Amino acid sequence: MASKLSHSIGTHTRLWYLIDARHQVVGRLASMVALLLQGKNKPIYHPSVDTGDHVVVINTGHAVLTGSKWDKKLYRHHTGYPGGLKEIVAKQLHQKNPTMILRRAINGMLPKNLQRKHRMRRLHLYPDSAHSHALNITHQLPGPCPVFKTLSDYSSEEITSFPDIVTRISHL
Amino acid sequence: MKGRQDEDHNVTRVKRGYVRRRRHKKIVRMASGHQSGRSRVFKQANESVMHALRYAYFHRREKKGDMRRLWNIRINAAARANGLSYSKLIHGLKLAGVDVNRKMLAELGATDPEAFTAIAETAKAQLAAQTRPNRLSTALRRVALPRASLLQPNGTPLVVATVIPA
Repeated sequence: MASKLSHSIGTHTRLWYLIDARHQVVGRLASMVALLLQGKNKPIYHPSVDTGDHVVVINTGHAVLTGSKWDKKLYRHHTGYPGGLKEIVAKQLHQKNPTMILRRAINGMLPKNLQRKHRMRRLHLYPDSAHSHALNITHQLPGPCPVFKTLSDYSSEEITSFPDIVTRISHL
Repeated sequence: MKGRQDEDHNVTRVKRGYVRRRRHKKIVRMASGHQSGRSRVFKQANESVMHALRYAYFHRREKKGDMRRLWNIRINAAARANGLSYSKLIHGLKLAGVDVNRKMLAELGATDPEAFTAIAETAKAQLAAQTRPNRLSTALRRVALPRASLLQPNGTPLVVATVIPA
């Protein structure tokens, strides 16, 4: 049915995306990554064929959870034995393994079918900016959330030369 | 006289011969490709074929919806590559009076990206031409204020935080 006229070798190759998770909200980033892993951003998408790409996410250790989720969000699993409900708070899980929160989020956002395992295998998470896929990366994508500068990112000259707001407002 | 009295014995004797065999063969042939006994044994094949025909009947109707769902996913992907969402694209095309159906839109999105871009542009133009002068929220949204800014006494915004391009 579909004419292959404008399909090139590049149409069906698997791309490798690099995403920096620093200061990105976990859920929003996971949603975007899940779409990339499924290949739903491609007009050649088909559910029976895995059209997904590889996604390398770096700095997952610096991803963000809003509100008081670090202290309140619980990750639960049951060991199968009676009384074996294990609960762990997001903060502790993050200390144990900084990639787990994002991994679980993306895993939950993929459709629960036989392709999920293969798609998760194409996900590469790294807690810091070191990753071993430099030769494979084809595109770098911005995260879904805008990145702001924190106070530590400003140089001391910028801080001292910053206009005095408090004094100005007191005049209003 | 004698024949009319015992009518049971009046019917001609019929040996079944090959009739059953041929009927069964037809069914079992339709069940080719089914698992183990269901493609070989008539009793199992009969049930299998009955299910298969029923599924085929209903799924011929479902196929139309399945295809449209697939086209929508592909149109969404192509639209987002052009800076639009599926909903905005379809709305813009409706406003512009473009009646290209989803099958063709999906086809163009996959095989002729330039044509799809042209279609997306007509949709965008139509959406931009829509003015809503009475809606305060839309007007406020159009004012491009940098985030977390304060207005200085002379009226210019004072930028407190900057957005770093990723």
